[in-house]
Amino acid sequence: MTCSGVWNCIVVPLQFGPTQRALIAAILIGALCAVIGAFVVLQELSFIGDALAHASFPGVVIAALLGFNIALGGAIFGVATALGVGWITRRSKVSLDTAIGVLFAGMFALGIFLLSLQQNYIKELFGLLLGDVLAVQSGDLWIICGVGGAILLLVLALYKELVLMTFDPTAAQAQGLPTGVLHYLLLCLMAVTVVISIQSVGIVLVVAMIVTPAATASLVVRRFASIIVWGVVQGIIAATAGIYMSAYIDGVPTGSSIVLAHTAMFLLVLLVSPRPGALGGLFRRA
Amino acid sequence: MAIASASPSAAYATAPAALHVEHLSVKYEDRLVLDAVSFEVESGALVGIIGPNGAGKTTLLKAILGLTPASGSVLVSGRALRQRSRRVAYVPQINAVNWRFPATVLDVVVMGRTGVLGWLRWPGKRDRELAHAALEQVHMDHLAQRSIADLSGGQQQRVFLARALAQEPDILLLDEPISGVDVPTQEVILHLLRDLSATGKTLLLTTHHLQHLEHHFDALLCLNHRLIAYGPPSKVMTPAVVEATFGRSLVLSPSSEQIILECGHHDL
Ligand SMILES: Nc1ncnc2c1ncn2[C@@H]1O[C@H](COP(=O)(O)OP(=O)(O)O)[C@@H](O)[C@H]1O
Ligand SMILES: [Mg+2]
Repeated sequence: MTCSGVWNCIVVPLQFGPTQRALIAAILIGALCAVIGAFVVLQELSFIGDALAHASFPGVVIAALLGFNIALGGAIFGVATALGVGWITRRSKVSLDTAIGVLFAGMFALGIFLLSLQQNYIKELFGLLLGDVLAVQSGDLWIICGVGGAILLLVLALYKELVLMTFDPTAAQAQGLPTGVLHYLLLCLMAVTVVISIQSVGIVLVVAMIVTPAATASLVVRRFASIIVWGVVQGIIAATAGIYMSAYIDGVPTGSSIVLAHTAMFLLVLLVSPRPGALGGLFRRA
Repeated sequence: MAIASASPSAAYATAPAALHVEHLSVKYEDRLVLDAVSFEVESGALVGIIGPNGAGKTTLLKAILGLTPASGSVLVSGRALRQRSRRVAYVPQINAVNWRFPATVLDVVVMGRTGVLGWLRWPGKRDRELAHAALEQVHMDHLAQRSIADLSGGQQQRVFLARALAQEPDILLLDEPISGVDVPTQEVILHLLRDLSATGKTLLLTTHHLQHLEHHFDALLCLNHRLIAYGPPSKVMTPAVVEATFGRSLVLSPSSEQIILECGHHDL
């Protein structure tokens, strides 16, 4: 793609239907991931999120081969593996992170095995591992809107409970909150967010969409709500920058360009911010 | 089994005690951590729960709140505790919270309203007013907009006390509120707690510090898995009770006694 002049360069990619849909999908997913990511980062669930993405792989492969919705296939396998981890840790003395390591790598290997039974699987493997938001159809957009909207509504409805549980789980329990249920709910919300994002950014990179915005924000802000606001803004910027990057540089997968934009912002803020909380004055209540 | 009580007549008084604990036992796997602990606390009392590390002090507080599976009974003003009850507030040990969580002092104190508000309701004007009032009670309202992470340990402890007060409880259970802060700060916190008990709140706190006990508490509860003794400090702190609670080494070694005494005088 080529262009001349700033305005022209902004408009040219948007003349194509796939790019329009890709931009909308990437922005929605970027914002959704950032909201969930605020809780994931502060509860130190990043490892579980990454593992969930990998565990959903066989489901994604089977759905892709059979022509079903890949998010649905991925969700089924992701949730089944999460339950399997719970089952293993209850039945044996295997620790949680070991059980996750064993099961989730095993599931990922199963996905590659299933896919390699096909001819010319390398290209498809790349598509699934790295994602392609330009391939998003309008039906996919509706799924992202519907499921993403439902997740955001749940987070909003349970905001004060989730916040207290994240900050002080003992006090949450003492105030009568069902912390176990809330914990599993958060894991489920994260799993669903992961699988509806896989199509756009791919299995390998989805964890960065969740973790990096909140990680960047927490270098700077002094209030939890600000992490969410910052993360959503960063998600929108990274999605836009990433889509334009892959529109102008041939062959760059969108997942890679979006995550690179996130990583660049993280490094920039890390270098600029003199100490944690230093720029917090910007976010203080008047 | 007789119920130990701060004042012997309290068990027979007409009004039910603020807190009535009977035969409370907790097992972790096969280990009995609390062994049939029974006691009663009158309204407005400041009670210190003392014992060595691992004695079951934290477990006792959690069992009273129903956070850990326990047998026995706990009555608050004669009634069992419901879920999301505002009547008993808990102040966890300060290192039990997630210190990477960014929040202002006011944010933290408003969190004390979470359980009381119930599902699907956002904290409003009244909740913020209660939070400011609670901060004033612990003399911290001028720091309401500061980051909780920027405060000193003693200030953080007072913020958590304010969060508990914002819940408008009758009883406060505090886990190690004077640990990890310097002696002058311990005095400040103990005086705050004394003031609160004067307003009618019932307070139970755990500690493994021994140097404040005589003057600050209405009653001491010596715990080492079972209840060793319970009553006014002057009656409880006998060599035999201290030895049964903390073990022989502490009592028999003059040097550790001296350390305790030195700590007591050093900063006063
Ligand atoms: N969740 C738990 N599971 C198993 N053992 C526990 C648990 N919590 C505490 N314990 C054990 O119970 C004993 C009492 O602990 P605790 O109540 O924390 O003592 P204290 O607060 O007096 O130091 C300790 O030996 C501790 O190891
Ligand atoms: Mg303890």
